[in-house]
Amino acid sequence: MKRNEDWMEIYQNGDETGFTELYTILHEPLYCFLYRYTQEAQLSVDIVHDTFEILQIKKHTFNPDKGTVKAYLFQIAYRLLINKLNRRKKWRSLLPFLVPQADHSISMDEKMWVQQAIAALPDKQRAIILLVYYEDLPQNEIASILDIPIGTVKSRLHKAMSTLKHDLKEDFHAEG
Amino acid sequence: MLKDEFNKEDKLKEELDQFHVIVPEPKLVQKQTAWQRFIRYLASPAKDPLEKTTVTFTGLNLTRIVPLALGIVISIVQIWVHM
Repeated sequence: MKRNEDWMEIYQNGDETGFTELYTILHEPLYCFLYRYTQEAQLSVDIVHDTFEILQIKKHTFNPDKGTVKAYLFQIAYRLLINKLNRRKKWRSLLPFLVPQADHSISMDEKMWVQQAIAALPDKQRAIILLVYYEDLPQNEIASILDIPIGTVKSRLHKAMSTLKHDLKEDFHAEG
Repeated sequence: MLKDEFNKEDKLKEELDQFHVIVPEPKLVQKQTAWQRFIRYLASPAKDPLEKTTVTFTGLNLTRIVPLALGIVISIVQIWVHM
């Protein structure tokens, strides 16, 4: 059974099978991360496409000594996502009526507590929770994806967890 | 692993586990060109910039009266200029 890094090496050597395999293995976790972060299907789809397109262009810049293919791909996707969201924020402040309304397939009332709580987290804490809990990535890979020091990963995780626990307690009291 | 930090947080884990994602495979298969994305952007619903004026009775009347008043003012100015 080949690892992602083996498929990447195959791809770097010119065999397209490597890329196909990487897409098959990684497009789903990448989409899930992006969707959980943005809760927008179309935006997440676009970023998955753009990420693999950049992978095709920059395949030779990947160095297995610096990290895994998954972390490399998530790093590209996270940067694209942040750039897109910042651009959108800028447009929203300049021309508020020209910005398309986000296509939320479900309304806020229908969303589960967890979706609302994750969406309400500050951006930096949200990314940490998603990468730790859903992707189960090691601390050093998360640090490289988010471009932050390794120590900051743990402190942000604890902050995010305490925010979620606080919200959860409030929600529980509100229901009771 | 960092995920071990959640080991004692059963309630939180239970809630987080409920966030399932359905991967839209057909959409992921079809790559959209920059032009298609632009068209999608143009066709997407945007906020009505005149919403605040059209939803209230006074606002709606203002949108009717203001052009009429402007038309009258412009006519008077033109008459005054040509006199």
